[in-house]
Amino acid sequence: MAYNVLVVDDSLTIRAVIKKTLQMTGIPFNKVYEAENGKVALETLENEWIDIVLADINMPVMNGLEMIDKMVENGQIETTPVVIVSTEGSQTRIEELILKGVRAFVRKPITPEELKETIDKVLGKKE
Amino acid sequence: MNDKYSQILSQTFADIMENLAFMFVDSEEKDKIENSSENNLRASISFSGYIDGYLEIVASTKLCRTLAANMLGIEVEDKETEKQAGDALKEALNTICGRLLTEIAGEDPIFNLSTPKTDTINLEAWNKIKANKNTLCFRIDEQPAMLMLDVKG
Repeated sequence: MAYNVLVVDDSLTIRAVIKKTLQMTGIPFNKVYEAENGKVALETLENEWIDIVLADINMPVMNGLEMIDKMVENGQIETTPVVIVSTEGSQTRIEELILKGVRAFVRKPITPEELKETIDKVLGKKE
Repeated sequence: MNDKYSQILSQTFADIMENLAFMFVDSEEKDKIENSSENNLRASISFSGYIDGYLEIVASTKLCRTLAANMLGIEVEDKETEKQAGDALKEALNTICGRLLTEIAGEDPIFNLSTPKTDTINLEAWNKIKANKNTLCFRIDEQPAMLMLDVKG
């Protein structure tokens, strides 16, 4: 099975890095969608089938925390797994996000090994 | 900047640049940092929480293009590096700031980080940053770079 991924980050460079890292994981991906903020991500989630969301926290317009809150409100957090990919390292924040339904957290800079392990775990859980 | 912050910032910067872009950082003395006359880029970010403050990085456009090339896995001559130079610097700073705050405050406190911003600075601004007592100087791929950390309180 090939997966559809949504990468949410305001940095075009980081989106490109994540796409490249995804290729290096060897996990079969069908399509990688991109969104530059939480608002665009929510629109994409409305219109496309997404198997997993990889989202940053610190973004303009709508940040990752606001996006998660919206996904909790509309129930999407339960059907579409979200992995936070961020520079932040606060365990308190990570625990808060996990309580809201976020499935995992990967700290930047990411490695293919870390990303593969996380995605395998998250999509394995989903199945 | 106190010795503790200075040491943590230098180590964090070196670690992130190596892991993010395979670039190796050397500390440099201020008086050995040349006055770059070309266009230089600055990225800045502020943070609040357990401690409040501001972090900025300045580097030559040439260095930022190399950073973008390494992050994207493309050649420095590729036009894309020109477009992504500022974005790459901004993301490097964002990553450095996140890691720095954990190194300083541990993993419990929550910090709010601003969205990083970039601009182009002239020689006068370059010299002003260099003269700041909170600025640390570095050399990466023979190019100068500076980091300024201002912690309030």
